[in-house]
Amino acid sequence: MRPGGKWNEERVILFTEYRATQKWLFDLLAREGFVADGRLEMIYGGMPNDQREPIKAAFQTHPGDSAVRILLATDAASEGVNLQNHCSRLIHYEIPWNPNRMEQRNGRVDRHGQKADEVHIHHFVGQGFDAVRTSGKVGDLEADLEFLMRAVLKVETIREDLGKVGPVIASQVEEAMLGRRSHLDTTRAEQEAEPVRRMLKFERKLRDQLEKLASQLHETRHELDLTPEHIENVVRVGLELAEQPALIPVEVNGIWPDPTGVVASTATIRRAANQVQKLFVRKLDVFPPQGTSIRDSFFAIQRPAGPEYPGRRYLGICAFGRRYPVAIIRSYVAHMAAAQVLYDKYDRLADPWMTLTGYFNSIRELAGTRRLVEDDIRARLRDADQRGLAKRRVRSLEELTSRKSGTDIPKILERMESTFDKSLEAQRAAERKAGQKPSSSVPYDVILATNMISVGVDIDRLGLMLVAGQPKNTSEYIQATSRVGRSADGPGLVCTVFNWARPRDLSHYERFEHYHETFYKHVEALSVTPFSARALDRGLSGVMVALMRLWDNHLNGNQKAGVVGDTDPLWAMVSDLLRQRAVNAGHDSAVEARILSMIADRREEWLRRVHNQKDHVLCYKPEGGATVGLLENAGDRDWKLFTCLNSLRDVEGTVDLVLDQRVVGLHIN
Amino acid sequence: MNELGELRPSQLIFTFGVGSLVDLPNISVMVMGLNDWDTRYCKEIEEDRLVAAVQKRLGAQMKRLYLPPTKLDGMELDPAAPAIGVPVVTFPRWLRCSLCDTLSSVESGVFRLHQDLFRPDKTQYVHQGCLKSKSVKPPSAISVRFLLACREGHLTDFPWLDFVHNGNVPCRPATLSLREFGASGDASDIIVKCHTCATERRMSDAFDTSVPGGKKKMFCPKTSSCRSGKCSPIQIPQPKIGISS
Repeated sequence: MRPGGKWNEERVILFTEYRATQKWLFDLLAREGFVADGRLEMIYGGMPNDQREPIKAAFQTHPGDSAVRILLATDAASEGVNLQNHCSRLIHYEIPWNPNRMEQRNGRVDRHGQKADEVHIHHFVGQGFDAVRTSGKVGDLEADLEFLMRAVLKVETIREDLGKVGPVIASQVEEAMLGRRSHLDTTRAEQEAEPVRRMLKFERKLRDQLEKLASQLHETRHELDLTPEHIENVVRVGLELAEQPALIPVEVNGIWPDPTGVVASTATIRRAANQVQKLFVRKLDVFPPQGTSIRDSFFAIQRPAGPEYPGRRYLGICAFGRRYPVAIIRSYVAHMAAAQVLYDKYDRLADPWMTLTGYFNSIRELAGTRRLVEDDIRARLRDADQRGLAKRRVRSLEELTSRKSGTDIPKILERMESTFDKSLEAQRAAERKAGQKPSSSVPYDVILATNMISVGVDIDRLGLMLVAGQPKNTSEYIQATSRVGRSADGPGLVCTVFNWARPRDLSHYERFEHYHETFYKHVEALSVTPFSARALDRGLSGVMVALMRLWDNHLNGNQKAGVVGDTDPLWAMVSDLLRQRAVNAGHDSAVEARILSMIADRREEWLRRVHNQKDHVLCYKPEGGATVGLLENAGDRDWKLFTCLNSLRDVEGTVDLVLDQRVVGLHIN
Repeated sequence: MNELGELRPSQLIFTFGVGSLVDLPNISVMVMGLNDWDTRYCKEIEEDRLVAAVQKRLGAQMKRLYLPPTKLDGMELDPAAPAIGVPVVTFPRWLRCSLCDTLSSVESGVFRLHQDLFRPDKTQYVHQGCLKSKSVKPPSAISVRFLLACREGHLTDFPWLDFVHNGNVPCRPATLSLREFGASGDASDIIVKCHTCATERRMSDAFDTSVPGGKKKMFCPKTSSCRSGKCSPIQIPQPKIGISS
């Protein structure tokens, strides 16, 4: 690179695994005079981006314009960096353990855009490394390298057989490097693997045999014409000859006529058969069978509540004659202050009841209570000791609702895991005093949630929930309240605050005990209304187009939307299929008529657009140029006949609220 | 950029119609009247039967039906585009600092509207001049809990200045605070104070018809125009709409 003390235009990258090695090399090269005049640069992890980028750019610039010739890099530069413009030489100072990483390093120069004909990649080997292969002397570099080479080869073999390597060899590699071992011993590992290997071999043999037998069976069947139709014919003829009644067609669930089954889970099996018939047009079996005892059906066991499985306790509050917000405020204050008493006394053992989870049936009610917690409840908790409880400071309040942005929800869930613990509190205080970032986050005092909390929130530490008003569905009530008391550390307490002005709440309050003792049997089945007019508006076009496209391949390509003919047999087939499905699901002639007329409308519109292709091409989805799309995305424009939703769950767009900061028309004092 | 949040169109019809209070995460607002909606950005619903049906109920002055205002194509990407949407206004107009209890109106400028460009849901009022605050972040100001409402549903702010001065001419300028004492949360434990003349009054007076300047003295601002004539001076304390049933 420096023939006769003058730099030429060659460049080289030197990869090292460790930053320390890199520094050492830097010093070494500096002593030799390679560093001066910006000829050498370094890239390493932990280097700020604004320093790294100029170096990468300089290295990619033509050598005539940029002085840099040598780049010392750690693996920080081994991925996602382009260095190939004016450099075709690379040196691995040492071999990385992971071959993948080596490949990545090489990829910096050996990649698209490399102008040189040849890329030179160097790494060091021991002197005469071929000759000393057999010497096996402990301690010299050659032997070490040789050992590693052998280890690498062994690793490959064992991985092929077993899939696990690390534990077997790792300790031996270490020993060898410390000079205590000169040979690799994998016999034990191989011995252990022997039975597995034998079994694998046996399995392979078995598979071969099975394949052979299967093909034989197939051939014999073919020779003897043993098809189901054939057998059916034989039986039919036989029955006729014997003057017996003919065969009766039957349906065997999951076997005939449609052998595909669907496994679904449900909260209640009440009316499940009806729902399944409507949605899937299938019969239904329930698994697991209920068995003879509901307490122990083999698949499920009912355990009594006790210290080991503490379960949940339900409490109902109905404050007759008091306004509902007052009842809510008092319940919140009482529960939170009481939890504080426990916490003062028992420290983190009281953690389950320190985060109060408020459950609400609507955002409107939740929003109101949020204001209350921020203001009224917070203020009262400051003086709760006057009521025989304990003072409490509400430090952290959060809500788990659709009003929160999707990016915040995971953070909230994560922080919900942080616990009330005096030692952590003290630590945080100390850290804050020292000006450090606290190592743990402040746990939530109150979490206000809508039914967002009912599904999938698995936070074991929660033990206290206040439900504002009886939820509309029992299943919702069970789902929501079972978020608390999930661990043996904290039995759950669920307190439902009923609104005496609502007849529904009142009736629930009156039957409180019975309802809670048996609430699993109160779970309501949801109604399903397939093929309702509005569902068809939204979904029919998509289903119809999909069927036409996928039936066979003559309408499949994107541009084939415009080639469908007036008399294409698919029109009738698709129309009949959908009609049949609607009839099977509901047995309603009105629905049948509606779906037929809707399909006819869509057919007419589609064909109109096919005939209209004078100066453009009709595709399913526009491809640009002179193409137009048959299908349209929902939400872009008005709803048309071929507007398709991406998901039938999409219901409605949103409108923004805009704050008007003028004071026009407002009455102030 | 004055966007605050969003609603589904059906919520605008059923729950949060014109004149209703919407509790957003950090601010409480009221949906403004239709005359303030920018119909240039509203799409007309061309459905004659629906128009006829509504006219039958409301009379022929109802001529057209519109969807709520939405952005036009491309406005989403244009930073200079005006904020389009359903207009709302901060209500109640009186706010209280959550730290120092200072009570003042939105117009006063004591509280500043704090907006996050990318997170409209974080919009809130803050008390930047709070004397009690030691942190860099100013404490939040929250809507005051009391409103006047008449039986006809007319809403107005509680007459704080008149109330605390008990019918006398209010101080000019007057600085108010609203403090809560005790654990009961009763109206008698909430005190409004004018720091200029050092008078203070308990909120319980406002509920009492026998006290001078109490319930009897408060009137619906719309009494003269209240259609039914049924509008009577009734005052309801509002721990925020929402929960009260």
